[in-house]
Amino acid sequence: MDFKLRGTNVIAIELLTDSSNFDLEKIKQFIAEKKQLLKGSRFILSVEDRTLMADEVEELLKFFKTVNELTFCGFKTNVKENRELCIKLGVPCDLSNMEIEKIKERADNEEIKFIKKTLRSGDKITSTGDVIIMGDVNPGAEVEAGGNVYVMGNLMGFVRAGIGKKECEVRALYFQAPILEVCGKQVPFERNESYVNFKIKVKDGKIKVEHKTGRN
Amino acid sequence: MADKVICITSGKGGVGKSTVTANVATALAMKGYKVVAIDADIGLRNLDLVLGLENRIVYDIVHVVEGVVPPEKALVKDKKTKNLYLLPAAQTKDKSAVKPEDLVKIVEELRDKFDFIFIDSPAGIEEGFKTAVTPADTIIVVANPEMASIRDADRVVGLCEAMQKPEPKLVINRLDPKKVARGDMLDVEDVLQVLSLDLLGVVPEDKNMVSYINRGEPAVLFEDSIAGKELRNIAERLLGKEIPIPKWTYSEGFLEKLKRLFGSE
Repeated sequence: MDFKLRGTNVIAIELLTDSSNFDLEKIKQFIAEKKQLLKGSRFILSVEDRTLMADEVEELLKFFKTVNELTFCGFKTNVKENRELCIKLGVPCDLSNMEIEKIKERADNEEIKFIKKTLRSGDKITSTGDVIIMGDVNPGAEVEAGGNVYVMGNLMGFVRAGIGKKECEVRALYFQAPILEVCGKQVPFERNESYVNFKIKVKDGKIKVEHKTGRN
Repeated sequence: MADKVICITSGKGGVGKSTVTANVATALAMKGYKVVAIDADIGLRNLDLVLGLENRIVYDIVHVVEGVVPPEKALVKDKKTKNLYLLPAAQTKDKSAVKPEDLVKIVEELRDKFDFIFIDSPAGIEEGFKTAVTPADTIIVVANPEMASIRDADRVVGLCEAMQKPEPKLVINRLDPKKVARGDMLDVEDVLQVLSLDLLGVVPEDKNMVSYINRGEPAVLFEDSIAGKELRNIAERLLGKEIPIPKWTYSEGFLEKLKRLFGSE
């Protein structure tokens, strides 16, 4: 099994693994084979989209101690739990900047619409990317966005965010809408439900709602 | 006076467009201004009933558009209120009989002869609504404190914005302070939260209103009518006077408190 390496000898060399190819024995074998190439370098193990177990981390640490050719500097990951585990075990662990890169990539080819008025009933705004509304979204108004939707006012109309995407978020200062659609999933609300500082996020197929207590 | 042509609209039907038009027009005429009320609800006319002029109509707005008579000849003079005139709608035709440019032409002909021109818009957002709004300098949106009416009013405000008209003013009609206190009705704040418009007035629910309309006598003619008083205030505010909008709060009487305490309705 081949793993991808990136970086330079001067700064550090990173070994990239993810949920599909993470295998302790294979990683060990790969490093043992590339010992000469990695000689004298600082080494980082990057683990994307996979939650590590405590014994896996300990076994890896034990293995790196036996390899004298390289200096093991720590882990890099995009999973919060991994970072927490590493901190607990006293191993350095960085959150990878892949998330940030992803957002940058999106912003370049998608439009960002900036609307400086209140959307009244019957108004409809569409955008391939993000929408920022400096005003209210009144009942009967519609917003359709390929990306995220931010409402700097009252959100009382219909918002469809993250069309065709797996991740998106909708935020509003005040929220009292009957239904929302995020990444193709419908989220209904009760008639008198209202929230302050409302935030709904879809990540890894899970919908997460955050808010402060409602006005009513 | 710049704001002389005033269109009263609402989107939803039955919220009191014609009642507000008739009353505010009458109140201004009572103060000595020369006022004409144009009924733009072709096919479903009823401004004449509210004003009590139904039996005096000879010509209507469609006759004027067709060129049968000039606008002045079709005007009906109010018998109770001096200075008040009505240009009635036709009952036999439909909305397509009057085009926006026809109404603009009529309004332009009447503009120099009157101090105020009121246009009573039909319900809905189709061509009849567009015809009524096109000649207007000022738009008044009438809404009841209920979600259906507010949403329709909101749509109308959006359409007026699209027609590049100045931001409409809001009249909240049929507010029942008793129901608001019980939490059964939206209060003024709730309505303003959605519509965010300049509030021109809040007209309270008046149980005598039906009888005023049936008799064809606008409520502003009666000193003791609570709705009439607020409608007169709306007329004053249109003239630029600053009259504070009363807080319509309701405090329970002793007996009602007692009843509530013992859980009986």
